[in-house]
Order: sequence, then structure tokens, then C-alpha cells
Amino acid sequence: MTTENETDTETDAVLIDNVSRQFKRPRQSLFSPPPVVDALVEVNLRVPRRSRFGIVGESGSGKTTLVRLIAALDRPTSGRVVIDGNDISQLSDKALRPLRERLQLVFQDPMGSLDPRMRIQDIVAEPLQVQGSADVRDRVVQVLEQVGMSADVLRRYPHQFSGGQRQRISIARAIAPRPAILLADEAVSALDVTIRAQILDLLDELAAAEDFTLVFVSHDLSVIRRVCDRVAVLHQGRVVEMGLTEEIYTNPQQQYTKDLLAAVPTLDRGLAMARARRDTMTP
Amino acid sequence: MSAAATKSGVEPVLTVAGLRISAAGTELVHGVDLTLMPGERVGIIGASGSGKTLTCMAIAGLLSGGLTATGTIRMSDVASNLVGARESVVAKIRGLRTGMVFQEPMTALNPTMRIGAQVAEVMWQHKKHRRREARRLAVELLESTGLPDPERIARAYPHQLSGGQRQRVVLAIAMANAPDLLICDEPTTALDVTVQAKVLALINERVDEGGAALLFISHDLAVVAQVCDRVLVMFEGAVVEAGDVISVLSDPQHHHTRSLLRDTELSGGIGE
Repeated sequence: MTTENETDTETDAVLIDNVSRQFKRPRQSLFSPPPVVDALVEVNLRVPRRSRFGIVGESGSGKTTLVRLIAALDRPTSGRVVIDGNDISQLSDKALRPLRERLQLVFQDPMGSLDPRMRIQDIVAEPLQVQGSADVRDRVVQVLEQVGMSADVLRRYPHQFSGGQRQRISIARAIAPRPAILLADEAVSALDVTIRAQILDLLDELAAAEDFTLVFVSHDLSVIRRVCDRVAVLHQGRVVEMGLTEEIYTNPQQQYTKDLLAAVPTLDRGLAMARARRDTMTP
Repeated sequence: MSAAATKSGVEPVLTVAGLRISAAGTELVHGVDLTLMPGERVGIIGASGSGKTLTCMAIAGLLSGGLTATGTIRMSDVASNLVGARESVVAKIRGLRTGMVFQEPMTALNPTMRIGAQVAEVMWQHKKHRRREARRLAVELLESTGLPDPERIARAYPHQLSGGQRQRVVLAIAMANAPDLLICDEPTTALDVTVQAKVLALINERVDEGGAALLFISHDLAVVAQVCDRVLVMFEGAVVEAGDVISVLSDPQHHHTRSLLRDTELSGGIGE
């Protein structure tokens, strides 16, 4: 099994091979089996090393289930999840630990993912200490600088920062241990447009300068387009369309992708709606 | 301000003049003027910290302690200035003359109360209807916001609904007493793009139908353009640009408006 797949695992940061994930709902009746929800159905994905890969879909599309599988926080019902050359679907929790260090996460809500009682220096240092690396302090200062924060933030606490700054700190913590994969789950969805553009620019810069593979999950295809070269469109647990972001953005093939794009608010569309409203009011 | 009223012969629903808000001696909002005519839809846009939410909280009479406001906020048919008015005065307006929708529907709803009871509450609280009548109307209201199976939703608790469904419930509560003014503060920011599009369409529909004036706060100009006729751009506590939404979008004057437009669009793909 492992030998025949040696070739693709060499080139791919993430390989999702025919993965399904089912969840059992609470039993409705004593006499019938509990209903099953198909969160993911026979999903196949290949994320090449050092690429920037987007996963787009609305709530309930299976995005979060997929993120949890890639982060080894959950196991598939069937199929294989191969991360950085290792099939993690069968590994024990203990065997997963060194792999977990190779993958870092950035979440939507930085307030929920930064410990409010820890100083910034300790938050960013934590993954480094787990790794047992030397020169922790130098690395902390270095990554904070990379995300645009000066060394005087070291002794402060998360609540002293704005949402955008907190997200920069989360990113600093994530890149500190030099991960192979950076997994960003709706990382800019809670930010206003100005800060969102800044954080996307930062991720863009980091992905170009650093060695990691970026997996970026969002409900907004225009956000994915800003940072990712490839994208998979997820709908009701299935990949309905996959390919180069620019091609899918400019020429979507599936109706669902078209609907998803049509829902993204753009200035052109807003302007058209405003004009239509003005015209109906002043005939 | 009064010029607008005399010109059309109609009294504005809301008149805000020289609104200043300070916290501990630091002024955060530096004199906002705003007039809303009946049925008019005005957007306030700006980045976090621009003072847009403070302005709308002051109008809703919901400024938290420690914040002080000066200036005037007047509503039609209300004698007193709402800035510094007693809570008993503001409480009679809030929920009856003004409806409110906030960003986070989970915190806007009471987690221990069934949906139907929460929608009904705002109606009997303001003595618009008796309790039993309010319960029946609540189901109709829920249905009017496009919720499937409104009878079941009315019996559900907030945590049993999705984010989009919860925001529909909050909108049903806001529109329950057919208010003259609907205030929406980032109502779709916590939602998916597809759900956002549906909720925006619903706001448009409900405002059209009820004839309420709309004050819509967002950081996203593309969203504001979908629902508003006029827009105020706030930056560091001051209105830096105002005008009809079409001209502000197609020919922005202030450099801050231009940078907001650029950030909204996320134009170009990677490496551009």
C-alpha cells in the first residue's frame, strides 16, 4: 500500500485519497438504526508542495470536516489522508505528534485561539519550546517582525491588540516552528475589508518568502483568488470543481460555483443594484 | 437640516446634529450630522474604529456607561432630545419606533427563550398586541422572513438554528412593530457570502414593504451599495465624505474612500 503510492506522496503536501466521513446522528427510534450524515463523500484532492491551495464552500459544505481531517484532529470513515508523505488515517495519537508540528493552523477568531493570560512572547514561543529548539527568543522576535509587529509587543497580552493585530500574532505563532503546511481556516472572515486586505497581503508575502504549503479555507472565492493559485469547490461534501483559481474565477463550469461567485458582493454588482433602485424610484 | 424638512414638506424620521461622543476625556466621534427622511436608506461605512458603530449605538440609545454624548438626536413625534434622555423615554422608542439588527445574532437572542416567545415579547411589551395575539402574529412574522416551517422555528431555541436563520429571526423581531427606522449594524458580516446575499435581499424586501427608513452600518461598500441610496464615509470619528451611493462609488473624492474601495474589491489575483 505505502510502496505503490511512494511517488505521489513525494510531491504532495496533502493527499486526500477517496475520503469519506460519516457522522452518526442521535438515534430517533429504538427500532431503527441511527441516521447517518455524509459530511464528506469520496473526496479526492492533491495539494502540491509549496503551492497555495484554496478550499471554498458555504456553511455545511464539509469544509470544516476536511480541515479537521487534514489537521489530524479527526479520522476518515474510509479513504486515506496523507500529510507530508505520511498516511495519518491509521496512525496513533502518539505517532501523530511529530507530524502535528509540521502543520500549523490559523483560525477565524484570534481572540478564541490566543490564551488571554499568556504574554505575546510566550504565545509565539510555545510551539518552539514544544519542538525543543534553541534560540527561541531570537526566532520569536524574527517572526513578529515578519508579520509587521515590533519587539515592544513581547510583554503585552492579547486583549491589548486589535483584531487585525491579533491575527498577525496568530500567524507569527503558526510560522515560528517553520511548518511544512500552514492551514488557514476562514482566517480573514472576521476582519473588516481594510484589515482583510492587509492580512491577505501578509499571507501572500509569507507564502512567497517561506517554504510552507498554504491551504486556505474560506466561503469567499474572491478572498481565495487573492492568495491561492489552485482551488477546490466543495458542495454538500463533494468536490464539484477543482483547478486553477483564475480559470474557475473567470470561467466557472458548475452551476454551484457560478452561484457562489454571484453571491460575492462586488462594487460593480452593488453599483448596478443601486442604479436599478434609482431607476425604479424616478421613472 | 430643517431645510430638507421644509423643502419636501415631510418631517425627517431622524435628525442627528453635531453628535460628539467621548470616553474619559478623549473625543471619539467629532460631530456627525445626519438626516433620514421616511423610507430613505442611508449607509455608514468605515473601518474598525472609525466611529460608525458608536454613532449608531448613540442613535439607538445604547451607548455603554463611560461614554458620553453631546449634540442632538431627534426622532419625529418625539419632543425630547434623545442625547442624554432618560432611559424611560428611550425605552419607549427602542423596539417600537426603531428596530435593530446587530452583527452577532447569537448574542442578540436570549438563549433560554423559545424563538416564538422572543418575537412575541417585543409586540406585547410595547402593548401593540395582547400576549396570545402576539404569539400568533410571531409565527406569521417568522414566515414573512422566509423561514421554513415557521411553526417549528417558533418552538425552537436559538442554538437549534443556523446563523442565517438566527439573523432572519432578529430581523423579524426588529420589524415586529413596523418601525419607522431600522438600524442594521454589520448584519451580514458574520455570515457566508451565499447566506449574506439572501439576508440582504430580505432586508431590501422587508424595508420596501414596511416603508421604514434604513440606517445600515458596514465596512463593506459593496454590501452597502446593495441596500442604500445615500452613504456617509467615516474615518477616525469624522464624516469625510457623503453623497448618493452611486456617485461616491463611481467617483470617490476622499483618499480614504478610495482606499476603502480598493480593499473592498480585492482586485487582481496573486502576484499582481
